[in-house]
Amino acid sequence: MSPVLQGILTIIIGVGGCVGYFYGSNLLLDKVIFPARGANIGRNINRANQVRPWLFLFPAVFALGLYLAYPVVGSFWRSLFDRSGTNFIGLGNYVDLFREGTFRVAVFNNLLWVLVVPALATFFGLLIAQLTDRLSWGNIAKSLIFMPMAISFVGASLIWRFVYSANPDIGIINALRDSLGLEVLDPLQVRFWNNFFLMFILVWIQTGFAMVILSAALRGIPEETIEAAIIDGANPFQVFFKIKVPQIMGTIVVVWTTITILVLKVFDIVYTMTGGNFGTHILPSYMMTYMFRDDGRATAVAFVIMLLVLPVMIWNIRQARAEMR
Amino acid sequence: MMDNIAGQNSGGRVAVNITVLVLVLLWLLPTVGLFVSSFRDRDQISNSGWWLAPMAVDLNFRTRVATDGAREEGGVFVLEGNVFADPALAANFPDGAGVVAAYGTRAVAPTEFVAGAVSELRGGGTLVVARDGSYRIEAPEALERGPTLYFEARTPPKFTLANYQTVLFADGMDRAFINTLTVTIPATIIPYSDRSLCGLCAGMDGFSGPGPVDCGRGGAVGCAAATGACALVAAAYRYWNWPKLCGDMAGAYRLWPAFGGVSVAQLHGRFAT
Repeated sequence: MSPVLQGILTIIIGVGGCVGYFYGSNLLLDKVIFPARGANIGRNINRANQVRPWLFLFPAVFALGLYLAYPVVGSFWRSLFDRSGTNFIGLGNYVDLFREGTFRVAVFNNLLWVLVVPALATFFGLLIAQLTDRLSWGNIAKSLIFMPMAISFVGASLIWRFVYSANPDIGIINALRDSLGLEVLDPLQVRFWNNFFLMFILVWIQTGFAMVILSAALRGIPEETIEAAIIDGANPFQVFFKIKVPQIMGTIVVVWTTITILVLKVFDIVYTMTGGNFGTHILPSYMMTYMFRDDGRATAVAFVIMLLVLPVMIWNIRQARAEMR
Repeated sequence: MMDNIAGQNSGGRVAVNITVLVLVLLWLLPTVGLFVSSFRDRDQISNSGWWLAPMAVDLNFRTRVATDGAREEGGVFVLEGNVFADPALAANFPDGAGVVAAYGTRAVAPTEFVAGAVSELRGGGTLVVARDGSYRIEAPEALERGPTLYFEARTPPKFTLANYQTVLFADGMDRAFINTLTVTIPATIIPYSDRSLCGLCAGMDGFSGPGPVDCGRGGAVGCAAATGACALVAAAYRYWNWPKLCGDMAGAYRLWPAFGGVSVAQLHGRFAT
């Protein structure tokens, strides 16, 4: 079969199956199982309405079970076995992890990432959202800054090679150093600071996300509050920090935590830029180094990441729910 | 919207415009680098920065000197010609002319001598390549085979679509393209239709009871677990050798976060309201 045909068929089966399920099951319920006619019409309608939500929920619940519960439980179980997958070693993988120096470096770096990336991305996002709010070309500016969101992490890493490359004919940083007569250096090999150079790639990508959400939130602020503040003599900074920011605090927290969660999942940037060398490992990239060599160890790292992200996640959901109320 | 409100000044406006412009340029810079580079050929990319793309580049070339034009002049064999006349280099020097900055006779040191300087040939004799590309070899005896000349010459900027051609028509590219669509289309439509119906449930008549709401909450906690990265799933799938539900591991990898992340988050949001 030609790949085009195969692709189209897959799409039709997937989407058609999904739509078909909802439509078909609903039809079956209403026409065959509890038909809205005959002697028990009233009872039938009530029953159908009792069953319908479960029918519609089933795919989501099923998919959650298959794609969430099962892999999580399965991975935890796997992390209790050694590399071969046959010898049960209890928490041995976890004990080994905490003994390893690279793991501790990865935890420390990840902590830096979690602190710096959401903070910077939210800061820039808020700054740009506020500045472009009343600009005539604000939408163009926002689209351009949003653009990196459409680029994959690996693609972004490639793009940033044109900034960080140690070759002054490729990397713009070294070209500048070269023209100033400074010695060429590889930014990604500068210990400690290289972490920040990598972080900035993610900040570059995520600022667009923060900007869009915060921009919408800023637009949603009642104008009377701002007008009242201006009439009372508030300067633009006071308006921003004392009137606007408190009103969108909930959204800021949601953006912040969403990016935090993302930070704990991104391995691509470190993996493609340095491969975790020069002290740049973070937990996800560290996990990837074990990924196809030692599944027991890899799943143990995955579990550690999961435990770390859980509190942030719960906070995020709580905030999102509070926003909706 | 609030243009006529008090507290605006023109100085502030200029500052805002400039700040935004600087930020936009800063954000665009890396992408522009990629964009410009994608139209340059490999030699030019590695020999000059993309910001110099409209400028001429110093590139190294080599040419083999033909021996058939040799003549004897007062006891020495003389070989004359021009490096730019080599038909193999016609693509870079269409009019057969250019400027040589330096030349050499060894591949390891292609720019050993400045143009115009006389150098010794390894087999005996002398060589000189002038700036206009003309060379003159004087050897004590007839050369069996001409030496290879290396030279650095300024080449005009060259923009090409060849890179796109290579990528778009490379082997397997069609397959990759189709796979991308096969994964992204259902991965967008399925969760959205799914979650909109879940949302519908919450508002349905006669629908109460803690069951589905708990499911939603459970899903939300599961969503937390989901952040254990896609790799977690991949690992689990590898371990359990699960029937290949999503086609393959790559399919599972792509579909899963889209499905889980989107539908669960939305589902939960719906339940909350």
